[in-house]
Amino acid sequence: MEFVQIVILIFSAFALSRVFINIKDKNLKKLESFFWILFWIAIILGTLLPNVIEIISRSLGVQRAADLGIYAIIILLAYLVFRLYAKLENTEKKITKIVRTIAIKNENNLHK
Amino acid sequence: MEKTYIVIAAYNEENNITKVICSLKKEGYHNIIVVDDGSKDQTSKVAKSAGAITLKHIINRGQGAALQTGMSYALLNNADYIVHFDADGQHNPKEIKYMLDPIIKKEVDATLGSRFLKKQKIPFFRKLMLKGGILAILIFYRIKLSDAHNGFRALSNSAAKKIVIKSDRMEHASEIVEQINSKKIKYKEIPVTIKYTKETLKNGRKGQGSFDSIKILSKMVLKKVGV
Repeated sequence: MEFVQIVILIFSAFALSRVFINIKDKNLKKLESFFWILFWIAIILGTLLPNVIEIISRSLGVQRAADLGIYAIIILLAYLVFRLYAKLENTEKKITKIVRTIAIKNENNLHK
Repeated sequence: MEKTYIVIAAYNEENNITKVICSLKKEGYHNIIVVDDGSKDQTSKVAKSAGAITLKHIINRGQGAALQTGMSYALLNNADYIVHFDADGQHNPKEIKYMLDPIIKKEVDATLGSRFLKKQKIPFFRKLMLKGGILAILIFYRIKLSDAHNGFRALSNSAAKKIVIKSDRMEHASEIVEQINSKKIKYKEIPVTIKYTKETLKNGRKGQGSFDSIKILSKMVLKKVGV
């Protein structure tokens, strides 16, 4: 086993343990937990069995397994950025609502 | 007696707001709501002592958010008509009656001020940007307006109830037009004068500089594709 494989395995095991802790603390939704468990298990399996990744990537028309990994990560990151953007917009809306409620409440209190 | 509320979104306008409030009072409008959008100066204090109802955003949320706060307050107080008016004195209070007239006569539920329907001098760069805005509104919402980004608007109670400004920042101008269209609110453009002074041009740059225009446009695109 190569050194890099060991590093990835240790990190994946750590990440997986964090996922389980978050599930225990009910910080993750069902679908999210399922996704992250599957994701890190896939990384572990891919690291242990590089040949399988090789076969998968060739069948998808990508010559090198490493390229497939990069593509997958770019897609994943793009998705996560999108989710973050949506969440941020949502949070901004909530802040505005709070600020508005306070503004109107303060004015109404003055006239009571 | 029918109630008209004037809604003014103000950010760091302590130097202009008193003059604007007094000019509105002189025209007989006494329900003036100034929404101080988290100003760093004394805007809310100054507005209050000039006799306006003052709502204070504890942090800056943008002009769209401030206008919606003012509208919500006016509706809570059973406003019959709501007028959006600028804080920097670029609108003429004498023209409010022309904006309200078609609504009072029940011809339409909303009027939008247009500086291009009246012959007046508009700085070239400003004109270029505004024409771009008109084009964007035409492309995105298929509404042909002569002036798409004028802050001078009047709404009936029913129109104000239907329009909910969700865009906190400057893109609210486009959003209002979009909602007027999608909610089938009858509207009309009214010629208005815009006073361009050093002060108002500086303020314009605060919200509608070329970089902001790009930001607004990108938000419009994102909204169009459902993000």
